Amino acid sequence: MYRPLKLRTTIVLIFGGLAFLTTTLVAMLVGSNARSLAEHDVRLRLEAAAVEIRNTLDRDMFERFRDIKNAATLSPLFTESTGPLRREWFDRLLSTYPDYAWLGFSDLQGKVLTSANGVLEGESVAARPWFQQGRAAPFVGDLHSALLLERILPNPSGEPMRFVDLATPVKGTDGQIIGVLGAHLSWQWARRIRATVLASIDEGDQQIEALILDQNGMVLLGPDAFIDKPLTLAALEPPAERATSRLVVWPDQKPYLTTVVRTTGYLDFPGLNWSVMMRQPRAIAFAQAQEIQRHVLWVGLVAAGLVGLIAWFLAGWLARPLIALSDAARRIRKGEPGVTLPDAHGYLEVVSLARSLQAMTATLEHQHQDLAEFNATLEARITRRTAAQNLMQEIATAANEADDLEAAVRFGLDRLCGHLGWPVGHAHRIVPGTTDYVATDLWHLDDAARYEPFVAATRHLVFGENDGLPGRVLARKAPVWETDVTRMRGFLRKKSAMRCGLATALAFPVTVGGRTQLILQCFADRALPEDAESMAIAGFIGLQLSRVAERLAAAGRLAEREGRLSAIYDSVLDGIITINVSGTIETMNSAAETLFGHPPGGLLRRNIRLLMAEPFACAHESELARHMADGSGAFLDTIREMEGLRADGTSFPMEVAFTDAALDDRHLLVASVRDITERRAIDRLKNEFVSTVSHELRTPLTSISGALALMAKGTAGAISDKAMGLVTIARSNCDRLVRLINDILDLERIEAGNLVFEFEPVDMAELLRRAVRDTAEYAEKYRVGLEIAATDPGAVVWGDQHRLLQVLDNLLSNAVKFSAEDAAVTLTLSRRDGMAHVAVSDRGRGIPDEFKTLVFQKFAQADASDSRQKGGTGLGLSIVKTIVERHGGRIGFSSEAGVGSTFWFDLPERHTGLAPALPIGRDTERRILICEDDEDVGQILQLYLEEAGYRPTRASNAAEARALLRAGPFAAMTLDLGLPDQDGLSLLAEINADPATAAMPVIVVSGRPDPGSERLGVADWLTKPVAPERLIAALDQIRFVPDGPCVLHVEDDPDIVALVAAALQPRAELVSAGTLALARQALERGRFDVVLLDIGLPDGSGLDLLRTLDGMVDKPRPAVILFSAQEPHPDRRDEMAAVLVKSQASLDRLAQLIEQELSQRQAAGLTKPPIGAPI
Amino acid sequence: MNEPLKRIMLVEDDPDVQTIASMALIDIGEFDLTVCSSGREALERVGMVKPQMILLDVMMPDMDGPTTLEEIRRLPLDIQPPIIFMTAKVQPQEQQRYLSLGAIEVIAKPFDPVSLADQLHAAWARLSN
Repeated sequence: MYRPLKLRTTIVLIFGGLAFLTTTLVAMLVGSNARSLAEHDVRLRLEAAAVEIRNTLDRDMFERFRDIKNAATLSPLFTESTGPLRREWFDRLLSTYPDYAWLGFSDLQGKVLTSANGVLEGESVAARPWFQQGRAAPFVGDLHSALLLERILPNPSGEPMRFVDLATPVKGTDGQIIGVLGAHLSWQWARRIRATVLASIDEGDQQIEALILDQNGMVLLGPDAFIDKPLTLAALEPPAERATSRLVVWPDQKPYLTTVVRTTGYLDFPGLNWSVMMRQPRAIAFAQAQEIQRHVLWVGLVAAGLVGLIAWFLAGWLARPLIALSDAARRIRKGEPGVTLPDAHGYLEVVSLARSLQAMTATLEHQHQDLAEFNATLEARITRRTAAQNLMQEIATAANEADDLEAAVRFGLDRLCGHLGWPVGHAHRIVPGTTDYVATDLWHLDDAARYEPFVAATRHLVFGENDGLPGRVLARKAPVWETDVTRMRGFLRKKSAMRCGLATALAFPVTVGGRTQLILQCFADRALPEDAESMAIAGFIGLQLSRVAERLAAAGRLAEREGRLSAIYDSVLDGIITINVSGTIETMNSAAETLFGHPPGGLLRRNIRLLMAEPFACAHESELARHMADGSGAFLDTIREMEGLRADGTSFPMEVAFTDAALDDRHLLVASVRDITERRAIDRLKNEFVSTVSHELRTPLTSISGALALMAKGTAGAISDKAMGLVTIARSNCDRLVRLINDILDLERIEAGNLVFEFEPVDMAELLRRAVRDTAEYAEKYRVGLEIAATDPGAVVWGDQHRLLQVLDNLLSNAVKFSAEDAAVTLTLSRRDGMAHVAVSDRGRGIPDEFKTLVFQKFAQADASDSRQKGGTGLGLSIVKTIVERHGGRIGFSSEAGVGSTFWFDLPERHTGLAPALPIGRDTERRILICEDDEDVGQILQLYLEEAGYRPTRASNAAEARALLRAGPFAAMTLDLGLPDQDGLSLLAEINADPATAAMPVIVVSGRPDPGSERLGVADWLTKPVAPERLIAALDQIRFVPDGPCVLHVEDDPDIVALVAAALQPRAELVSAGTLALARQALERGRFDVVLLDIGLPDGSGLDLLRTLDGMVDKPRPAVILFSAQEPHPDRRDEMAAVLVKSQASLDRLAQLIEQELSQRQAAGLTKPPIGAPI
Repeated sequence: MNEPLKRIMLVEDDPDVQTIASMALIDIGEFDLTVCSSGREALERVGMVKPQMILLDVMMPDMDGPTTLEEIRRLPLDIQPPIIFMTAKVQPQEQQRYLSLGAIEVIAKPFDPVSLADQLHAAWARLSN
């Protein structure tokens, strides 16, 4: 865990650290500066010394050189006669400058003529370098040992003698060189210079050394160890005119500060190209600098220590009051008695902190006390409140369960008095029909004997609405507190109250429906101040008792109403049956019992299906089950007509509607049942009547219209224009009457289900043109143009041409009627989503909004007063809608007031592209069962399927379907759910349950949307109207897998196909193809053992197929047996296994041949794998 | 049957329709028209009149059109005249039924008297082809 540092430690650490850091930094900086200054100083000193040695050497050499050269110019001195003078001068020279070791003059042969002190006089120096060089020009010779002189000259030091030679030619007065003046400078000269300089800089212990090196790096002068040895220091720069210094490691592996400088000569003295080197051990050279640095560092450390110490004391001073405060606070927290926060001294902040803390502590102390007191009060209050709450809870529970008001009131009085600790309580009730209240027998008495006078006084008292305590309660309609009744004005029982020692009273009302029914009063045996809580409890009890009273009153009313409802329920004419979700009858009214002939109650707990004849009972069950499962279907709110079953087994037509009734938590369904025997009879009569009347009307109409037509034609002689006008009126009305009758007849047929359509392929573009032609005359009458704005020649539908024409005529004439003069009516034909879309647009006034929902209703006309509508019957659009829907299409319109209306309808297109998509399979695989009760839809589906190459068979109800399914296998089945005799779903369940049909895919064709077809075990779910592609696509999804030997019969005559198929069963499966194209497709998709080939095919010669067979690479080539009316060319016979001519060969022979082929192929392993394996 | 159409027999029970049809066929069509008021009368007279074509009402009391047709077909006539039904029942399936009974044409009532003769001529021409 993180533990904070003490204030003191923190301050010491911070200040000490800072001081240390600062001084260290300063020390390092100062030290480093001092050191570099010192170093610089040392360097300069060394360099200066080196330069001084160099300069001295050079100057001295120069002077000697000048001496010699000057001497040589004194030509008188070098005559033969001046020998002694010369010697004297040499001697003087030698004595004035002691570093001359020798001075002499030799002739041109090298014989020393004269020398100082006569040394070497008469000896030959011809071999000496100085003589040889000096003969030509002034010469300075480098240091060398003196070979000749060493023996002669005195040598006090004992060291080897060395000299530097100087020589110059001496010219006679005639200018001819007459000899050489030579001098040897003693090496003592250099030693002296070095010693002098060293002495000036070395104060004794500096260990400074100077070395003189010749131009080859040989040490000429220096410590003995180095003398006459070459010295090379790689780290040192080559000697230069300017002195340079470096730290260099010398051969003794010690670092020295080393300075080197080259001799440069002086004026005309060229110099000897020596170098002067000075060195000093690093330790000594930099000792002073290091000393300074160390010193500064020590001072810094001492300063840091001092600062830390000061910080320590300062921090102690800062922290002390804080520590004292925190100690006191801790002890206060621990609850040590008598601890107070100390006054702090010192600096302002801590003083103010101490004061604040003191104030805070005081407040906290105060609050602590308050809290303790408050807690105590609260506990008392909570105890009281809990008691009150428990009481109220108890009262509420009792009120909920009470079924007797008196008991509830007594309970309330007892509990309230008990809670308050009051001895007396009682109740007054209203006298019905008055505003008076009389005492009841409901009393709470702690001591009956003691309070007897009060009870007696009360018993005979009747309170009016303004009397006494009850009067005040009535006025307030809320609890009333009276501290002392004996002092209350108008309290009627003062005396008895005083005798019994009663003082405080609490009275409250029990109100039902805004009227105070009861007034309850409680009395205390002492005077108490008004207590709001007690009043609230009283109010609550009053409220609860009101609830009880209200509830009991309501229960009474409910029972009464139930009785009334039950009477109604049993007296209505319709049967009403409630069932639960599983169909069990819960109740049944007497009308229902009478209707079905059952004794009262005889069907309770039985299933409602007992009241329905088959197949309606089955259909009902499955629909109910579906409704309960997922709410799908139209189980509710649909009126069904079905056959009811009476107890005696007879049936009758009835109308049943189910509605939902959620009762409490139970889900019930209410069936209302009506006997429609009579209505059926009336309907039949009406339809027959309409039919008869319509027909009967036609006969007189025939005469009238004929007569009028002949009159108009003038067959009966010319008539006046006026008469002609009348005849025209009569004719047009006659026409209208005929149309009306036709429409009524159509409607009657539609309603009776007798409208039969003749379906055929209809070219919609052509139909539109015809409709325009038919309506042109009519349109001209209204001066309205008709135009086909867009058309699609490919739109072909299955339809009844006449009926579709009727649709178009109707829409066109409507459009014309509602167009203004000179306006145009536009027709468009388009195709989308497999539907042909026809739209008829006018630019009329549009359809009023309120009429839009009625457009397709019978006898609906927007404006009956419109004179232009005279020709309409009001039935047209209703019939049109029915016709379109019976074609599997849709109709609708859009309209905008003042802009115009567009009526459109969609019809499913005949799928012209179906042939190439023909499913290939055995004949049984192309058999499709259509189960569809609607004749027209069935016919359309059949046409679609036939067109696509299937072999559909139709069943119009479940019983037929069942029979067909038993009779033979079908590849697939389409199923309508609304079958007349059984619900499609229950039929589906049967099919799926039967092992013989379970595998057969079922495609539902229904008006209802797909509720999730996988779940129902359905291959596909198509919604009406069905587009042919959808149907064919759905069937294509179903995979046909031929197995075993397979024969492809290419033949366009279905009878021959059937015969051959029969002959081959069950040896081989037969797939037939009526055209070359289909045969090619079959060959591509399937694998065949034998191809039975006809030559004359609708789309070419069967022999062309042989090429297709030759081109097959991925499967064995089937054997070809020609079975045709024609014989092939003899050349082609070889391509076939056998040739049979239809008129000559028997079917047996054919079967035999095929059998033979199959056996051969089987033996050769060419036939397909056994059943079940994939293609 | 290259002979032009001339002799027509009309079988119609309603006298008004008789009148209209007569005018249409005689005055406009200029046919030789024999009018019979019932099927029975037609049966009696057809052998004598030898009409080239019979126009037969469907709904007649006593003996209706289809029955009359059947009866006529049973008669030992040299040439069975083609029969055209006239009917107020104009539903396609009804028309189909009449055609299947052997009628060559069904004319809907009310018919247009002005074009009636043309219709008969057209039917006659189709028959000849």
